[in-house]
Amino acid sequence: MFDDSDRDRLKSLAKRIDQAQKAADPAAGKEDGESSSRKRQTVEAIRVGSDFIALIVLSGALGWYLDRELETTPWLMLTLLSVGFVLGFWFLYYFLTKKTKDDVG
Amino acid sequence: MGMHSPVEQFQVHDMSAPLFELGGHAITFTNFSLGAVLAVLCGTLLVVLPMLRRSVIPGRFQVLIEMMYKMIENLILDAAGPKARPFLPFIFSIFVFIMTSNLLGLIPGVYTVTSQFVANLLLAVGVIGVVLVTGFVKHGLHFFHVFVPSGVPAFLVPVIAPIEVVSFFIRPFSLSLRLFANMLAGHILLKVFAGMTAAVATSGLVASVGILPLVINVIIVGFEIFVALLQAYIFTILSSVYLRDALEMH
Repeated sequence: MFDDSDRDRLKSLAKRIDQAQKAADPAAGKEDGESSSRKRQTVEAIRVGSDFIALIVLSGALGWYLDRELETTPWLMLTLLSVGFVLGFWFLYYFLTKKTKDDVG
Repeated sequence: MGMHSPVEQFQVHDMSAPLFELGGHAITFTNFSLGAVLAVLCGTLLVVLPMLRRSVIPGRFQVLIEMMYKMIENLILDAAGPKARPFLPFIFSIFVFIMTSNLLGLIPGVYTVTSQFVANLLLAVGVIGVVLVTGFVKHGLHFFHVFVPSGVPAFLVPVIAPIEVVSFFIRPFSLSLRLFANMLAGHILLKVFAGMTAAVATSGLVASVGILPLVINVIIVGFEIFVALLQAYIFTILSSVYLRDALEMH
C-alpha cells in the first residue's frame, strides 16, 4: 500500500512545496529564525523565574523541616528563607547577565 | 450547609482494602491511583486508536495526533538538537500523560494527578535521571564540565561551579513546583467560585446576582484548559532543554 515509490513521490512533493513557499514569501525563513530565538528567550525566562522561586521555597521547606527535627522553631526557617532569598537574587543576576553576554558575543 | 472546603478535592482517600505491604506501609488503591490509571488509559487510547487505520488521507483524529506528534518532534529538535531524536518517544509520552491528567482533572470528581507535588517530582526526577544517565554514558566523567561554563577564568571557577551545581539539582524541584502550583491554584479558584455560585444563589438575594460567579467560573474553566495544555508544553520544552545539556554540553 505504501512503498518506496510513494515515499519518493512524497519527498519530491515536499521539496516542491518548500520551493514554492520560499518563492512566494522570501522573508519566511528569516522570520522563522527570529521567532525561534524569541521562543528560546521565553523558555529561558520561564526557567530562570521558576528556579528563583523553587530555590526560595526549597530553602524555606528545608528550614521548616530542620526546625521540627531540632525543635528550634522558627529560627532555622527564617534564616534559611533569607539565605534562599539572597541566593535566589544572586542566581537571577548571574543567569541573566550570563545569557546577555552569550547573545552579544 | 453543604459547603465544602476548596482544598478538599486534593485529599487522597482509600478506595480499596490494603492490597499489599511495602516497607511497612499498606498499599491501597486510592482516588489518586484511579486518576493516574485513567490518565494513562485515556492518553494511550487517544494516541493509539486514531492511528490504528493509518490511512494516507487521515481523518480528523489522526490529523490531531499527527499534528501533536509533529509539534513535539519540532520542539525537541529545536530545543535539544537532532541528536535528541531517540528521546522523542520518552518526551512525547510525558507530554501526553501530563496533558491528559491535566485535562481529566477538569472533569468534576476526577482526581488531578498533577496537583500532587510528589507525582510531579517523580516525573521530573525521571527526566533528570535520564539526563544524568545520558550525560555520563555519552561523555563519561567529562560530563562534570557541564558545571563549569566555557570561557570562565580559572579564579572564578570556585564561585561559579557551586551556582551551576545548585542550579542543576534544583531543576526537578522547579519543574514539578511550577506544574503543581499552576494546577493547585487553578483548581482552588474553580472550587471557590463554584462555592460562591451556590452560596449566592441560595442566600435569598436577587437570583440574577448568582449568575455572576457562574459566568466567571465558566471563563475560568476555559482558562484552565489553556493552562493545562500550556503547562504540559512547558514541562516538555524544559525537559528537552535539559536534555540538550547532556547531549551537547554547552
